Amino acid sequence: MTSAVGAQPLTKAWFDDMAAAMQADPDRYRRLGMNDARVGFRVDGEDGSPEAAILLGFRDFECTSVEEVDAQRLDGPDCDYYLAADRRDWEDLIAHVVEKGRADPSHTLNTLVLADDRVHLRGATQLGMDTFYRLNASLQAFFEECAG
Amino acid sequence: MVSTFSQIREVPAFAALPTKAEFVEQLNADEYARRVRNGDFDLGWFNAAPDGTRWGQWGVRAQPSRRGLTLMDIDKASGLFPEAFAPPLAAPRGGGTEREPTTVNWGINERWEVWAENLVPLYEEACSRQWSATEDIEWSRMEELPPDMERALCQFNTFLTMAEYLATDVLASWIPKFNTYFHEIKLFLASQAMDEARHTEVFRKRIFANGGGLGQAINFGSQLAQQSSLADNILFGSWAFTSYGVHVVFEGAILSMFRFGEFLGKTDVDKQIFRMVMQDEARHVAYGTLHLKYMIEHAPDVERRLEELHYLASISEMFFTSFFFLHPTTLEACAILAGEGVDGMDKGLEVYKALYRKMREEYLMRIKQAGFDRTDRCMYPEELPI
Ligand SMILES: [Fe+2]
Ligand SMILES: [Fe+2]
Repeated sequence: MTSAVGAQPLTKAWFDDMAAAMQADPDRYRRLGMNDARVGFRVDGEDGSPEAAILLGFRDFECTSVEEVDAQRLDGPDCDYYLAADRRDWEDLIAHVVEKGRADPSHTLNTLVLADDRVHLRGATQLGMDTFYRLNASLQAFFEECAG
Repeated sequence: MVSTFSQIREVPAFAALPTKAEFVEQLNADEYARRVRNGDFDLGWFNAAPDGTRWGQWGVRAQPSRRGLTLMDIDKASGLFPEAFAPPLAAPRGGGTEREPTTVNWGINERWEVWAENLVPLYEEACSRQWSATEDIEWSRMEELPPDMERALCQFNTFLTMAEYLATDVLASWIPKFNTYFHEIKLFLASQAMDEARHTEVFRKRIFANGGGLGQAINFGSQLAQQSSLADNILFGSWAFTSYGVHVVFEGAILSMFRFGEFLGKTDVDKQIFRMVMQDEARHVAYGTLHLKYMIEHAPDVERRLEELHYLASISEMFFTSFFFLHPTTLEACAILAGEGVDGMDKGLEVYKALYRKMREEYLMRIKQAGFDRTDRCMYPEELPI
């Protein structure tokens, strides 16, 4: 599959491209407001075990760090919350966003996470996970950068 | 100086005022006015040493962070973090006062009564993440909904419109009770009042934007409004109770309903509305949760306070279950929306029940992590009896 930001989806390079896209549109993210959060993305294999984990650092109006990490770190104090899904479900979601240019009403992150069947919201604390709700529009906009 | 206010306060209400000419004569005779006429200025404030007596500090040069100049930046530069007890004054924290400052009998003067570790950054977040119900929702993308969906959504939004009045009315009335020394709580609640105003606005706008109209107000609103107006009301009798009842119980549940609203939204407009209100609501819940934690860690006589809080929590949870989650308008509107029509209500009801379980689970987790475990005492039933 491909994504408009170029790199192979769900790799560090792909998230780096998304961070660069975010940086290239400062007015949009400033309008959404400050966004301080440490957000993980976990990619699981077919047997449900983690295959890859990325930890993003958002600061002010930018994504300031993209790290490949051991999946266990996402359950610790370095991460406010993370989104976990099978590789195939992530790829379907990304393909959908790329095709439509944005997530349609049945594919927004909150909708998927509330259904809790394909994409799961996880984190060490409830208040950390509540950050997903508190800064949701910024994360949704960031994720939709994959559409280019 | 002519102390007009004290003169007025000493006379009975509506007693005759001086004529304007008499008042000007009094001003003319004033000692300070006479000195200024002779070029003799006071300058006490100007010449005062920056020792916190008549003048606060001098030479503070706060550096803006990348976001701009935040309250965190000026606190760091000035070192003016709040102490445990506030002086009985209407003065900004760290400033000087007149020689004989007027004392003020604020209701709330201790840090543990108001503080939360996230209070200052949350206020900055609130300011930064303000949005406009008029401009930031893409109203031009509104799409027609099937009539029963539109009717259910209008009912859901009618309830929410009403819930937003309550949050503003109850919380804003506390602002004058906090000592100005803890300006952060006043600022945060003022920002929350703005958030709630915008929520009322956006739900009302949505109701009238797509061929529907206002639905039925439910007694929940009148019950709470009545309760808050009673002098001896239990729910809002102290800030600890009010913040717990509103920020943690009420807004915790409303946050779940906003998430649900986003989930149920069939159009970009409805998605956007619920996404934006959800963000604001999570901020209110975040203050309430960490205020609860701070209170538990710092309040004197905390065991007794927690017992009282358990009592209040039980009342709030019972109230919310009976008057909100089991109310026909809430339950049925949500079931229609989740089931995509009246015909799908049975399926929709299962989704509603799952949302309720999620709300309960998140609420219990939040308060437990704040140090208030209600796992065995929570009055929210594990399952709605439907
Ligand atoms: Fe609200
Ligand atoms: Fe609120």
